[in-house]
Amino acid sequence: MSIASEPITLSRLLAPVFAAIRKVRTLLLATALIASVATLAVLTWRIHEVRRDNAIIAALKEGEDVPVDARKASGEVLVARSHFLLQRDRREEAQTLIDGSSAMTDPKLRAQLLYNHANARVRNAIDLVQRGDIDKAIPLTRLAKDEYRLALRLDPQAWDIKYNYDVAMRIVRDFPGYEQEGEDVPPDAPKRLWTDLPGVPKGLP
Amino acid sequence: MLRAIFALLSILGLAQGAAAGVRSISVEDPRPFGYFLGDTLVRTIEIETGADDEIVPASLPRTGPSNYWLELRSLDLTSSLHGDARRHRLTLTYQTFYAPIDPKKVTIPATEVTVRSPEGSETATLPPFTFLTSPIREIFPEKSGETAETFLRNDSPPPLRKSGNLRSAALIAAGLSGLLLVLLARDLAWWPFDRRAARPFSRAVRDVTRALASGSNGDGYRSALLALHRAFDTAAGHRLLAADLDGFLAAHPEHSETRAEVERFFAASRSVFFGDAQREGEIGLPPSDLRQLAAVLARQERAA
Repeated sequence: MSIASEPITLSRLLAPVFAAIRKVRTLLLATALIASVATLAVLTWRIHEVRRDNAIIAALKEGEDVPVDARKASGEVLVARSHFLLQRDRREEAQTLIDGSSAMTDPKLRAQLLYNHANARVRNAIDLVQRGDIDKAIPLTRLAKDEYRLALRLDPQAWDIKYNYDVAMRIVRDFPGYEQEGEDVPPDAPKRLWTDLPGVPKGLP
Repeated sequence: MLRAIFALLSILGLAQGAAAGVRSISVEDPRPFGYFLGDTLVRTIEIETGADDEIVPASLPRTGPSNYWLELRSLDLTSSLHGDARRHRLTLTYQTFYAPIDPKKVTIPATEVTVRSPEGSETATLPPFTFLTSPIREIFPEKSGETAETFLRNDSPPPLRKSGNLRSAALIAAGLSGLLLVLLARDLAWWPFDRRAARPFSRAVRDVTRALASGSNGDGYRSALLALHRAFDTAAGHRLLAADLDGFLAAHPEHSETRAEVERFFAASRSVFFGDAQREGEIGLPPSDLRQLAAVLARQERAA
């Protein structure tokens, strides 16, 4: 069998295949066209959704109280809504958004949601400390720390989260809940509990 | 003599090499300094054991909080055979949540994992890792003029949704749809491909349908017949008469299945244009059959 005769054999072999394709070509083209148009329709709908969401986000930014369905809305809309609520001290409503945020697909966006919420808590806690209401400030800061920590788990590179977590840590420090063998207890942990309070007027503990 | 000693040594070496259990542990640690609150660090530990040994999965450190400032985020174990040894590669990703006031050394404690070999179990100790973690802020920010209002970094502004990828995909889908539509139009000889020489019958289907629909009885049927004749002429490349039909079908074998209907068409045409009556032609090939024939010919033409 010479090499030269091979292409002829191949084309002869493939001839019925080509003939078969020619027979169903119209059907193939029609099917592909329908699939392609269907894809285009889906994509156009998705783009429309993005534009609608961006309009909601813009409206919230302008201060319009647009209600948002926490179960259906996209992550960006949730962040915008939460931001809107936190700016107006409606932390309880923002909390419900956080509770439903575990379904968010983008970890960075969820980290942002938690970060903004924790910031509101810490601001409130600092306010309480300045007014001397430390008993209320402690649980609030603990909750904020949990949120910062969860946010850092989701987005370990976010510098602002690290920074504000550090601020919260100085209001109420971590202390070892349990110790592994041979681990030294940070000597500053319980002792410094109150000395790190920011903005505590001199003369108070 | 020398050869004998060498042989003995190599036997000893082999015997030692074939031993089961943990043979060596090597650790690749990251830099031991420069860590802030929330940073991650990755340790890679390679445990070399006998070929049939395995690490007991239950003895591996568990992901999640290790202590109040340290979390094991992920753990990955792969093992591969290298000669008579098996290398277990353990990749541990930790995240530190230590918020030091001043730079401070902290230690990830040693842990033990169990290696199971056919002879029994053995423990391998993963060495501890000490690193220096640094504060991110001053000890007394107030001294440099910071107030309670400036302690915190600002909230992060809500971002808009991006649709760039969706738009690109939609553009591609639109282009593809257009291309497929053009190809399909060409295949079915739709406008602007309806004058394609290679598709005379596809054109004839439309002409025949239009002629039958528009003309009053006789005229419509006549022009429909003429339209199909024109298609035969174009397909053959010359004026096609009933006598040339054999030659035409030999040159266009795709139409040979419908020989009987084509012959009926020529007979009907003869009787209408040269014969006795138009009625007879209509009986010989009713308009619906004429349209059917044109459609069949067009389909055969496309498949050819």
